[in-house]
Amino acid sequence: MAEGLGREYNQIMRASALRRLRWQLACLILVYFFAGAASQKLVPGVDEIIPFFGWSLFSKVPNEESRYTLLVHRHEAEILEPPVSFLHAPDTIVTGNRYVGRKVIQRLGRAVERGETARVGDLRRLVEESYLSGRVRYELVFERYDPVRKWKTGANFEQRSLGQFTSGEGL
Amino acid sequence: MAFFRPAHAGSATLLLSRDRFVAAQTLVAAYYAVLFFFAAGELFSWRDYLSSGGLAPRWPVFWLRFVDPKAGIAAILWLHLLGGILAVTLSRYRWARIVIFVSLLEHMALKFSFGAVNHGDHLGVLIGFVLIFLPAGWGARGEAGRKVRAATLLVFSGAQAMILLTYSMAGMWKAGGVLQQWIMGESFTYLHPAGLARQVAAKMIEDDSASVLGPWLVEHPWIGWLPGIAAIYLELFALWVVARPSLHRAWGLGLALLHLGTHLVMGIGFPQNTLWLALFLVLSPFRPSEPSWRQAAGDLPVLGAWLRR
Repeated sequence: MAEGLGREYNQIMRASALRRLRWQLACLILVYFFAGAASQKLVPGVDEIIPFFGWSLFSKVPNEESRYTLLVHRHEAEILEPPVSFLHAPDTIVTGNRYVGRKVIQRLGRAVERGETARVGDLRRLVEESYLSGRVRYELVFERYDPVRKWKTGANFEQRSLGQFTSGEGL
Repeated sequence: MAFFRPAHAGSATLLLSRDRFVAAQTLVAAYYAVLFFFAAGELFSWRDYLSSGGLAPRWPVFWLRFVDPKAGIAAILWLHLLGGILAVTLSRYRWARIVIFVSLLEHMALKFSFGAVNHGDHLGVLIGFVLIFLPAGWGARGEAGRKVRAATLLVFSGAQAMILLTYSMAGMWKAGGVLQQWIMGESFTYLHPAGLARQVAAKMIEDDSASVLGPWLVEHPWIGWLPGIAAIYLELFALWVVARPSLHRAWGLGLALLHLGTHLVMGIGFPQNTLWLALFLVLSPFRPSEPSWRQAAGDLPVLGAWLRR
């Protein structure tokens, strides 16, 4: 019976349509592999080309880490003392998906450090229109740290301000 | 069986099996039903999308730059809803499956056109593309010819391969990362007993909040050592499993547990992925009718050769 089934299988797999389907699916996998890897890793200046993605997520253990933080100093007439971080600011100040907004803040911080004026303007508009509500005075801060040490003690190796901005001003 | 050469004889049995074909039909229908559920659930977000600003269109929705954004966004939302309805009514037609895929892609592109991309939605869209290749008659009740059965199961295997490819790619970068860090002389890699704990600490700092088990793991880093290495093994060799049905269930469960684990220690949730892993791997129509632990152990990547001795 197994032999008969095998003959039947060979017959249908020889059929060009099924052979073609198998090749199409295999090519699809190969194309996604290369296009995905290229999308994330090789195309300069490109964030990623959805739905292609290289799937490089948390690929290396951070021996040292850095990040850009947005601190809110004032909202409308209210001064916030101490300043509140973007992730912890109330919903009256920060709107939208904060974790997506945080990623945009990282791009903004990098653009500020590189002096990319036009890009800073675009990213500031994106942050201020999509994630901040009303008139907000905020500061961009760069921090460098050992993750475990910072988690346990709050200490940074390095911390510096990249400047203060007010929603809608200077754009 | 899969388009790869099977590890064991039996391709004919698998691809021509009527029972396995019916199982695949049911699972694919379930996938499309879930899309309908997602589309219905998205209605809660319509108001936010329609009142949103600061749009930075991703390439699939580049056309939003040339139309009234509000009208364009509304069109995408209605298309997504239509796609959900088509998914549960007319997925037996290829044209409908193409529209469904386009609706998924457009909706995902809209969702990620506000600055950054999250990766929990990608698999659903990729599976939708692979399923376009289903043959005519795949969804018919009653007797289906052997070519329809074989083609349907082949496409199902293709969907499994697409899912597992993404995990293998993730594992590949992690394995490469270990090698790169080791070459550069960095102290901490995923092979270090405190490696995973450092990654967890970094994520909690990035989020400015503690995950459920993250602080505990940072205080007891050695507990994450072997699970971290096991996670890389599961990811790296995921694609190997396509041609080894004895491992479908275990790998699907393992990867789903990986997502549960990363949610508990790093606060990163991939609930959609756990659903697709359950439908396409844990419930795989190719899995043996009677599980054989001996065969599964022998099929394990790298370890299997050693265990077979």
